[in-house]
Amino acid sequence: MALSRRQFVGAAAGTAALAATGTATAQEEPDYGGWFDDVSNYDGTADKRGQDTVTITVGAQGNNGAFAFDPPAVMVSPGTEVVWEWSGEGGGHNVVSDGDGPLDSGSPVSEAGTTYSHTFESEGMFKYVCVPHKSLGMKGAVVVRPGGSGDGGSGGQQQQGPPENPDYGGWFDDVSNYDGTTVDRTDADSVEISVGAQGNNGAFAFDPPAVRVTPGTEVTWTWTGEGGGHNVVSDGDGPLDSGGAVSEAGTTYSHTFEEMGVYKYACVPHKSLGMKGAVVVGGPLGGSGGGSGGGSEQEGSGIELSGPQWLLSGSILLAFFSPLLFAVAMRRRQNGRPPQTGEGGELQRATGPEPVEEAAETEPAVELGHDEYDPKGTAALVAFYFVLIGLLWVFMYFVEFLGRVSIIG
Amino acid sequence: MQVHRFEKVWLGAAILLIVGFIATIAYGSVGVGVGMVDDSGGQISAQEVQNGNTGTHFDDPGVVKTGDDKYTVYVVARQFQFVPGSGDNPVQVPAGANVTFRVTSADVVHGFSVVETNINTMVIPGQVSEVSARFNEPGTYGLICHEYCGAAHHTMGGSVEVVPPEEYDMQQENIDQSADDAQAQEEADQ
Amino acid sequence: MVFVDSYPKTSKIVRSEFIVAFVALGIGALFGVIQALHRTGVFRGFISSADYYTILTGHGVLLALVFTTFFISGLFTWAVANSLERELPHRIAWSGFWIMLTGTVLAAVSIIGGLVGAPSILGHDLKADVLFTFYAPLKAHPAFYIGAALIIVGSWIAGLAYFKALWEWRSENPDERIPLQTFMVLTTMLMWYVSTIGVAVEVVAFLIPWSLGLIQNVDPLLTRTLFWYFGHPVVYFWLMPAYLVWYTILPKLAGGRLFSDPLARVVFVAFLLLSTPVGFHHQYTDPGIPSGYKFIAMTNTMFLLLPSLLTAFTVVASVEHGARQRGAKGYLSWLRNLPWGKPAFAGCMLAGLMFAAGGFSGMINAGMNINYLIHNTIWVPGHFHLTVGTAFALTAMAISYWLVPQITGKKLRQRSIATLQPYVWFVGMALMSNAMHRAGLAGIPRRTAEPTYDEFAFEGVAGTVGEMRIQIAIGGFLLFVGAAMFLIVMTDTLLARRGGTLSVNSNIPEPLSGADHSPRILDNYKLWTAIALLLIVIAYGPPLASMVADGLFAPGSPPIPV
Repeated sequence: MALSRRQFVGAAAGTAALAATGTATAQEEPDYGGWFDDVSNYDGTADKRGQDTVTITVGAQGNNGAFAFDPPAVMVSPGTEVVWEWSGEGGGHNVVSDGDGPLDSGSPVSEAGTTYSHTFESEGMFKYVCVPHKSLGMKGAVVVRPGGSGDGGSGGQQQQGPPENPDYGGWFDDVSNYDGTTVDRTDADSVEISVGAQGNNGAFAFDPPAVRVTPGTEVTWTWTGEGGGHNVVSDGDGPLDSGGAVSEAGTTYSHTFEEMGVYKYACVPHKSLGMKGAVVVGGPLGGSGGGSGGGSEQEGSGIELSGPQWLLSGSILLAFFSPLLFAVAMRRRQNGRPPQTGEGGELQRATGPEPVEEAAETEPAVELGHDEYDPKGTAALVAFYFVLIGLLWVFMYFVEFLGRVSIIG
Repeated sequence: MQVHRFEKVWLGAAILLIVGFIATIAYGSVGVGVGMVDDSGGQISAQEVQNGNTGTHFDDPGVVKTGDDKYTVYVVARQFQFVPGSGDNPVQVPAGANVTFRVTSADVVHGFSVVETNINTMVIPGQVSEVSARFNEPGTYGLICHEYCGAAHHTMGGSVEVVPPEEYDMQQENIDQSADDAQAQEEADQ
Repeated sequence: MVFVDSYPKTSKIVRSEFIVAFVALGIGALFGVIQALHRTGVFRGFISSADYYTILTGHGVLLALVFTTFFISGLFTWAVANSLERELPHRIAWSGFWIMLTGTVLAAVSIIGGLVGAPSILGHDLKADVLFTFYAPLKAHPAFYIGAALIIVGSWIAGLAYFKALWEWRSENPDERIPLQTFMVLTTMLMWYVSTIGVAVEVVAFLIPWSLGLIQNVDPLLTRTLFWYFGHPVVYFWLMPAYLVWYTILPKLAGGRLFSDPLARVVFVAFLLLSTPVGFHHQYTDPGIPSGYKFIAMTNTMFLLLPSLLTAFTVVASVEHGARQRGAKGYLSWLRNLPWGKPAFAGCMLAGLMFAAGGFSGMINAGMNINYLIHNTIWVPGHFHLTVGTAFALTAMAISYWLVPQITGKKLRQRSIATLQPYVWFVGMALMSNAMHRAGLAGIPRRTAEPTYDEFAFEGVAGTVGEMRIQIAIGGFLLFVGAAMFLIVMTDTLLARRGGTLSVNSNIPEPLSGADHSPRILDNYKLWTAIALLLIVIAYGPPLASMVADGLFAPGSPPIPV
C-alpha cells in the first residue's frame, strides 16, 4: 500500500503523534470556494507549517495525465520559501497567480529540474494555475497561516488518521453488503473478518466489509468455506496477500496493521462481483478530523468510475459479449432441432427438414430492350444536377471563398 | 463498346465540369494570388522550440516589424495554447499591413486557423508554417487550434486583434517608452 | 436454390463477418450519439470533455475501420461466390477473418482502456485517444497500432481468397469474361493492396517500434503523408462496394436491368488508377510540401470525379429502366413508380441521393485553395457522414435486408421497422449534415468536445449557431435510433428459425448492354495495376524522397502519450 510521503512521515512519528493530535489545535480545512472542484489529485490541504522550505512538484500525475501540482494545496507558516520543481512531464507548465497575485514563473517550460520559488511573508490564500493546463484542473493553492506545531519545530503533527467517514472513492459502489458505515473496532486488539459471507448475489462478500481499527491491531480473515475459492489481496500496492484462492472452511489469514491509512483489498476471483473490503487504520480524531485527508485516496487504487461511466462501460461490455450470447442462443436452437441424418452439418442443412425457397421473380409489365430505351428522365435529372453544382461552385468560390481575407503567399 | 448517346453527352459535360473546376482554382492561384501553404517556412527542431533554445524568434515569440508595413508574427503552438494568441495575450497586428505568420509546434500536431478568414494551416512539429495575409478591416478575429492535440484540445483558442495603423504605432511607442522608463529606473537604482 | 443451401460454407463466413460488423455498428452508433449530445452541449452527463476523445476514437475506428472492413469482406465474399458460382477457399477466408477479429479486439480494448482509468499494461498506459488518424507524436498504447496492423493484414488475406477463387474459375472457363461482380471485387481489392502499403509501412516500420521505445523519434510529416497515401483510397474502398450494390443489385430491385456493363468496368478501372495518387489533397494546408505536388494531387482528384459522375448516370438510368418496365411514362413522374416501400430499394436510393449532395461538398474539399475555407472545420465530418456515413452505411444496411435472408435461409423479420428505417436515417442525416456544413462555413472546428472559446464567439454564416447545434443533436439522435432499428431487425432475423418462402429473390437479370460489348483489355489487371503504380510513383516519389532525404526519422519527435 503506497502511502503518500506526508502520511508516511506522520505515521513514522508513531503513536505519539496520534496522541499529540488530541491536544493540538484542530486544523480547519480552508474554504477554497470550489477552486479544487475539478482537480483530481486534491484530497485536502497538506499542513507543512513549521518548515522553512516546502517543495511542490509541477507536472505530477493527475487530471488525466501529468497535469497536476503535488501537493495541490499546502498550508505553510509565514516566511516559508515555497519551491516549485518541474518533473519534466506533461509538456510546458508555468506557475501563475490566479488573478492578481505574486506568482509568475513566466512562459511555460517543460525541462525537468526547472525550479521557481517564492517566499510568502504575509498571511492569506494564494491560488495559482498552470496557464496552459488550467482547464484540465492543473491548479493549486498556498495557504499562509501561523500556528500549528511550527514554532516548536516538533513537526509532523499533521497526521491524524483517516476521518470519520473515509472517502473510499467509489470502492464500495458495487458491494451489496456495505451499508455506508465503517464498523468501529478501535477498542479491540484483534479483529475478525469472515471471507465468503453472504452478499453480492451469493457467498461473495467480506463481513464486515469496512472496519476501523487502531494501529497495531491484528486483523484475521476467516474462510466460511462457501462461494468457492477466495483470497485477500490488496488493491494496487499493499501489504495484504493471502496467496492463491482457497475454499476450505476455517482457513485463516492475518495481518497486523501498524501504519495509519485506508487499506483496500479484494478477493481477486470475485472482485468484479463486488467482493471487496477495506480496513481503516487510525482516527477518527478531532472533529472534522485530519485536514490531510489521511490517505482516503490511495495511489494505485485502480479503476474508478462514476455513475454514468458504469452505465457506459457496462453497455460496451455487454455489446462486446453479445456475439457470445448470440452464439449460445444459436447453439441452443440448433440443439432443439430434431436429429438429422447426413454426413455433416452443412449437408444436413441442405437436405434438412425446413426447406427454404426464394420469392417468385416478378415479371416486368413491359419488356424494354437496349435499343428501345432512352433514359430521358435520367438525362433531365443529371442536367439539373449539373446546373445546380455549377451554380453552387461559383457561389462558394467567388462569394464565400474569395470574399474573405486570404493567404497571399 | 456500346455507349448510349446520352452518356456521351454526359461524359462531355462531366469533363467540362472538371476542367471548369481546375480552371477556377488556377484562376484563384494565379489571377487572385491566393497562395498555398508550402515548404517555404523551412524546418526546425521541435525539442529546441520546447526548450526555447532555437536561436530564432521562436524563443521569444511575438510580432516583429520587418519593414515598412511588413510584420512577421512568430507563434508557438503548444499543449494547449498559442504564444502569443491565447488568453489575455492576443496577436496584435496593424490593419492594411502585410502580415506573415510563422507558426510552429513545441510538441504535437496542432492547427492554426483564423476564424472567418482563409488563414488556415496545419502546425506540424519539425516544420514551420508560413502564411502571409493582409487584414484591411480593424477588428478582433478568433484563433483556433483545429487539430486534436490532447485531452484539453477544446480549450486551445485565442484571438487576433487588428488595430488601425495609427493606434498600433502609438501602442508600440508606449511599450517602447515604458521599456525605456524601466531601464532608466533600473539605472537610477544602481 | 437459396444461397445458404448452394454455398453453405461461404454463407457461414459471410454471416460471421456481418455479425462482427453489426456489433461494431451498434457500439459505434452509441458512441456517435454520446458525442452529438456532448459536443452540442445538450447533454454532457455521460462523459467528461477529456473522455470525449476516447469516445471519438472509438466511433471512428469502430465505424470507419471495423464496421466497413468486416461488412465489405462479407459482401465481397458473397459477391465472388455468387457470380463465380462456387464456394470460396474457406481456410484462407477464415484465417483472414480471425486475424481481423484479433486486431479489432486489440484496438478496441486499448481504446476502451481510456474510459476505465488507463490501467498500465506491459509498461504502457492502456489508452488510445489518438483518433482515427493517429497522428504522431501523440502516442497510443502499442496494442492499438498492432491491432490496426492486424486488421489490415487480415483484409489482405481475406482478399487472397477472392483471387484464388478466380484462378480456379479461370482454369475451368478459359475464354469467358470475368463476371461483373467478381470484376468489381477484384479491382477494388487491387486498389486496396496498392493503397494499404502506405499505412502498413507507417504502422509497422515507424509507429509500433516507436511506441515500444525501440526507436526514439519519428518524423510527424512523413508518417502523416504515409497515412494519407492510404487515407484517401480507403474512402474508395468504402465507396466501391456501395457502387457494386448500386450497379448490380439496385437495378433489379427497381424492376429493371443494368444500363451498361462496359461503363461499369471502365468506372472501376478508373478508380484503381486514380484513387491513390491523390492523398495530398488531405494535406493542402500542411507545411513542408511544395505546392506543385498539391496541384498534381488536385488535378488527379478532380478527374476522379469522372467515374462517380458516370456512375450517377448509369445507376439512375438503370433505375429508370425499372420504372419504365413497370409502365411509367413522363420525364420525372416515373420516380413514383418505384418500390419505395421496400427497405432495400429505398435505402440504396436515399443513400445515392445523399451521395450526390456529399459529392458536391467533396468537390469543395478537393479544390486546392478553396479548401482553406473549410479545412478541419465541422464541414468535413458533415461531408463524410454523407459519403461513408450514408452512401456506404445506409447502402450496407439496406442491402442487408436483401442479403441476410439469403445467407441464413430466414425470412426478414420486423418488416415494418425495416421499411421505416432508411427514412429515419435519411431525415437524421439531412438534419445533422446540413447543419454541420453550415457550421463549418462559420469556422467551427471538427474534433472538439466543446466548440466554444473564451476569447471570441462564432457567428453563423447561414442560420444561427444555436439552431445548428439543435439540428446536429436531433439528427445525431435520429441516426442512433436508425442504427438501433436496423440492429433490432437483424437480431430478430438472425435469431429466427429458417424455412419457408423468403421475401427476396436473388436472380439478377442480364445488363442491357452486356460484357461482350466491352473491350477485353478492361480485364487485364496486370496492365492497370502497372499504370496505377506508375501514377503513384509520379505523384509520391519526389515528395517522399525529399522527406526521407534528411533522414528517415528527422525532423524527429519523441512520443507524447495521450
